[in-house]
Amino acid sequence: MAAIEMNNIIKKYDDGFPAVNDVSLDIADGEFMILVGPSGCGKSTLLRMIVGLEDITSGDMIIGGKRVNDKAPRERNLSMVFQNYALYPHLTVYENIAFPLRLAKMDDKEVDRRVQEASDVLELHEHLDRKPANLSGGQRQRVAMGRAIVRQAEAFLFDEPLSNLDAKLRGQMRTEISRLQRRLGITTVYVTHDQTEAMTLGDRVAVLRKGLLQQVASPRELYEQPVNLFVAGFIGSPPMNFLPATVKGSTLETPFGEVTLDDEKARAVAGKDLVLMGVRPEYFEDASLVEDSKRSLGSTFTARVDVTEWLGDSQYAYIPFDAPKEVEEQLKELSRELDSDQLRTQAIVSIDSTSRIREGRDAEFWIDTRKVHCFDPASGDNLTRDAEAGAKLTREAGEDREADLAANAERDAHPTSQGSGTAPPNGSTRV
Amino acid sequence: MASATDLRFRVSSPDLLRLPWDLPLELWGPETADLRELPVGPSRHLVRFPYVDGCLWAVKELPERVAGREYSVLRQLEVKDLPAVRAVGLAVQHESGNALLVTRYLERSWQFRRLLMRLPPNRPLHRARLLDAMASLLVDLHRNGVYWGDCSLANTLFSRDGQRLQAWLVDAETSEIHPELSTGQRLDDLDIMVENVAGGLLDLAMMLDRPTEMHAQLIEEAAGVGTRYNELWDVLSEQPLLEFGDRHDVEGRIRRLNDLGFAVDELSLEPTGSGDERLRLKVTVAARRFHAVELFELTGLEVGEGQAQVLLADLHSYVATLPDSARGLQRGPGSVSRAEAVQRWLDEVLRPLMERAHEAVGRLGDPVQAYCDLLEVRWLLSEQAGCDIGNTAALEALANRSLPTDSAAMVVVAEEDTLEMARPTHEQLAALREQTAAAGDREG
Repeated sequence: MAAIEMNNIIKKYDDGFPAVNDVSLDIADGEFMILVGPSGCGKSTLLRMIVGLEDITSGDMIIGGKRVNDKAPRERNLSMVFQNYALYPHLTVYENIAFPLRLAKMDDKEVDRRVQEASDVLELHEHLDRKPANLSGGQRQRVAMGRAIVRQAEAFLFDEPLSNLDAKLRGQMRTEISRLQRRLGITTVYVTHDQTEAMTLGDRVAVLRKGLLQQVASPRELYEQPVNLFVAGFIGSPPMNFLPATVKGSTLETPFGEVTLDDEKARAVAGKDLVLMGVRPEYFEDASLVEDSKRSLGSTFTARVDVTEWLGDSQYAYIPFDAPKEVEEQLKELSRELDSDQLRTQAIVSIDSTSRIREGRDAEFWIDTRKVHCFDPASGDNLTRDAEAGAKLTREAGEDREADLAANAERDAHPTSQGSGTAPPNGSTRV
Repeated sequence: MASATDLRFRVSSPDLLRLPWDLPLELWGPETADLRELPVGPSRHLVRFPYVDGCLWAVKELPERVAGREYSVLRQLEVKDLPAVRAVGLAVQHESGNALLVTRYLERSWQFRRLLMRLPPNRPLHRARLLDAMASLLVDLHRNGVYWGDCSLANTLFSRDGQRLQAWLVDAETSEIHPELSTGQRLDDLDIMVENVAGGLLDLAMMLDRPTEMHAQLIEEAAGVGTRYNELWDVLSEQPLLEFGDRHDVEGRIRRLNDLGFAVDELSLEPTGSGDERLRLKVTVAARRFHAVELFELTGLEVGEGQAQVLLADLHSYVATLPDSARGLQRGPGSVSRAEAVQRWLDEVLRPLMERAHEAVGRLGDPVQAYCDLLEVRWLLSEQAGCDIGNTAALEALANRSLPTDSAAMVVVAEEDTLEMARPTHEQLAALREQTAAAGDREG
């Protein structure tokens, strides 16, 4: 296993278009890093430069301390999991896993050790002498993973691995990949355009936009302290609402009335005439359900509800608003870039599922103003980001990861279940 | 037809359009479509084969995004005239997020299993023909900027082409088309091919209960695909430094490319720019149809490159036997004589013997191929006998299938309809059932 270090990586095609533009990113040994962004952001190109499929125009790609820019994919000893995972129907599960080692002419004893170890991790022990046709879809995927594990690669790479699976299997596999990565502690780089995968799987997430790295942080930091409008809009579902707001001292005039900022935020927006106030759906609430003690920590406003969606455990209300033309254009552009068909002239508001707010009627809402962010409409920068609070969130995620890896190492050192190195199951095919 | 299904078709086959495109593929039944079972091996996605309007079609169900991408890749492969199945339609079922990708099943093509199951055990020369065809296909794809991503025996169909085989790309789910491939992409694709070929051969060996001692040999042969690929790639891409006026080297290189079937599209000699007086020879080649084009220009026959090589050699040797006046074929003026010579070969040799050869093989496959088989069998048997055995004996050998085991003509067994084959063993039947179950068992 190895750390992956990217220094000022640039990929320019013949037409001069920079698909990846000066990206520097360090992935720690054992870390699960997600590359995410809308289509055309350069995430897959970056992954392919790591694996050696794309030539690097300039910059250094360093894996395990060695510069690999000029090395062939195989020499980098990385494993593209699920890339081609044909299972062979007449080979046993054991032989399907052992297959790459057979090709490498590894001796039987070592093959057996590795297959047993992988099947321990994947809980495939009892299936080793079966044929793939007798396995469930999920078990077959695990056999494919087993084949990647026995190679003992420096890192696992995934390129939108779940995109061609049906929804049920996708959920199962997401959990499986997460569990496996923690268990093996193997450096993993995972490309996705699906932010649920990004937020649930990664220790850290690198958000890319048009070839440029926007922010690298833990999912929580991205969610709570995004660096700019793009990251704020990309991370979170339903997405963050952006309301045009005129700055009047420490007050913002928004389509939903006035919002008072605390001193720190007021200082951050000083000198600006217009900002975009970013409010996540859950920072709103049905004002009638907010306790009095909490009410003073935010602002209330009345608005007409266009549509409500009741989902059992949650509920959303859609509130249209008017925006100045220049802001409306910018929001539409952002929406297009985020591959969203959402027209951002309405706010999506999460309200308690017991709320009796109904569509077509006026209702009173409350905004938790402590959590809003203000963005510069011109540059997109988050003016109110608390970098220190953000760094703390990412540091904590790193500590959690270290603790998980240590716990797994401890478990491996003192196994309580089936140990590795047992004899191959009866009937397993040896070739 | 439910409105939640978008249809895009490139064929005007009314019965094909009438299939239940709004239904999930697993719900297609005999009442809606004449479905055929083909043992195609396990697939990531459900594939079914309706027989409609006198043709066999392959219908694959997969997520809309992947299906759309594969459809687009297959269309581009068609535009580039590369050997791949032709995409004829896409039915997007918005409700489920799935799509049905329709391709035309390639006529007179078959999977590697079909050939190897029907030959006597362990015939490396036949496997070599399959692997040559695969290496050649990958080179063709790579020259055209196509990264396959999952090249395997199971994702390839084969058809006969003279003494060679032609390989066809069947599954483009993981394929990408670039203006040009990087070395990394090529090498990665090659590694994938070698690994998958080894897997395919081992799997079949297990299915047929071949002795495990064979496995090491099969792995070696799979590794050999890489060598074949590299040799061909090097010939096509080498850029030797030549002295100015070194005509022989240039001609030699062109001849070598022509022999391999490639016509030269553009040739350039460029200074190296490093003070060296020598020039760099760069050759761009066209599609592998050098002999096919030559034969077409001479005779109007449209055949595969491998068949054209055989037919041209036959034509040339026929002309060599003619009186001088008709020997304008290779050199000299006298275009009338040349045309006459060609016409006589067509009328007196090719057409009658092609008909008899096709009859002898039971009208299997393509008549031109039957004639190529006749020529090969006659040559091989004559060599064995130490004298020319003549056409009649060669035709008899074709009809009785008493063919030299390693001859290309033996591949005719792959053309035979499955139903006419000898009964497979119980083990083979069980294995086939398992394989079909695996193919039909949708993930999840």
